[in-house]
Amino acid sequence: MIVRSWKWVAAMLLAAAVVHGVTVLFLPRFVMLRTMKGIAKTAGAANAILHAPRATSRSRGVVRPSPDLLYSICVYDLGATGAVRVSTHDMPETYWSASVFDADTNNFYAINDQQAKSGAADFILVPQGKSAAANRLPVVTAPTPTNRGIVLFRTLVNDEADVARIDAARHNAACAPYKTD
Amino acid sequence: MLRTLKVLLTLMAGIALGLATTWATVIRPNGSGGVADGPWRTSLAAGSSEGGPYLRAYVAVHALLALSRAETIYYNASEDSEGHALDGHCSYRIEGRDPPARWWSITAYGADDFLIPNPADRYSVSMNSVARRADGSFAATASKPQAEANWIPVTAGPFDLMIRLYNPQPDVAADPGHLALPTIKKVACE
Repeated sequence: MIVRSWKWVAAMLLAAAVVHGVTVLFLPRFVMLRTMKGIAKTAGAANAILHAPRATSRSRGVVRPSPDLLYSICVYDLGATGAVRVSTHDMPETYWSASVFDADTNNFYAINDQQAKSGAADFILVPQGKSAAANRLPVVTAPTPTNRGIVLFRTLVNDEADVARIDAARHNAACAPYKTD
Repeated sequence: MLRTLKVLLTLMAGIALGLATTWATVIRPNGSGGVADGPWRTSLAAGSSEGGPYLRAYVAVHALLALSRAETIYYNASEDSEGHALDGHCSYRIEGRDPPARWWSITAYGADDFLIPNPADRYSVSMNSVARRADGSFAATASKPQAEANWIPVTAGPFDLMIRLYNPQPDVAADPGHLALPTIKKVACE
């Protein structure tokens, strides 16, 4: 009798372990998919930039936004286009960065204002295995397992009196489908 | 019939236990794990592919789109310097010096991981906005009642504080537990 009961307990623990493992492993992908769906819907499509309003307590797009940064965001979809061009220019003289995240939340690339210089950044995002050696622009290869992810521009409001100019300048950030050479 | 019922109940119990352990280890915010500097905690692998599945799941739920440490290091405090949970019924004094980074901020978040509503629409103090003393140090106040300077409004209930260190100096990643980040001291409670 005791042996038979232990079999059921063992089966229950096995089911619990499987459910626990699957939910922990797939939670990042699920959260990213849900977030990407919301961003693309608001932006109108994938590979299109969304210049989000400054974060307040009413902001619900992404958890823990910084109220000191302005966020511009796009969902990249390399499966649909083959490549995506990420660019900005004439950015304000403050901290800014462009960062790229895969579908598992990993931040696999970032460039900031000090690295970019001249207030500009311009690179092409391609999937693994795609040759882009002939392109004139720097190439960033997105890791597998998916061709989708998020590009996020952060622009620091370092002077509240200058927020209108900073906000206008960060609108130069863009994502667009790109035809590789 | 009885066996089918047993199988169903076993599966349901297993699923419930599996979801509960995921909730307890990943979804429920907690102040443990990572490297501590006073009441502040950080994980240098956050945002990067180096993090294991638990850290990645935690970041997805509580810190989505966090940058990797080369760009930014994040510290969280859900307790004061005495080890008591931060509670918006109380006022806290956050005292220290500029952390070693190109830019920093301290922001309050509610238990839902979003900015805390307040009439002033204020959510943080930062390197640019903080008022410093003559010796360069600063004191901020996280409280429901308005403070004279460097006020971070909170409301009744649990909250936590986050320090962002943008472009941190190399010694932050080398020794993240010895930055002497600001202390958090309870001043009074309602």
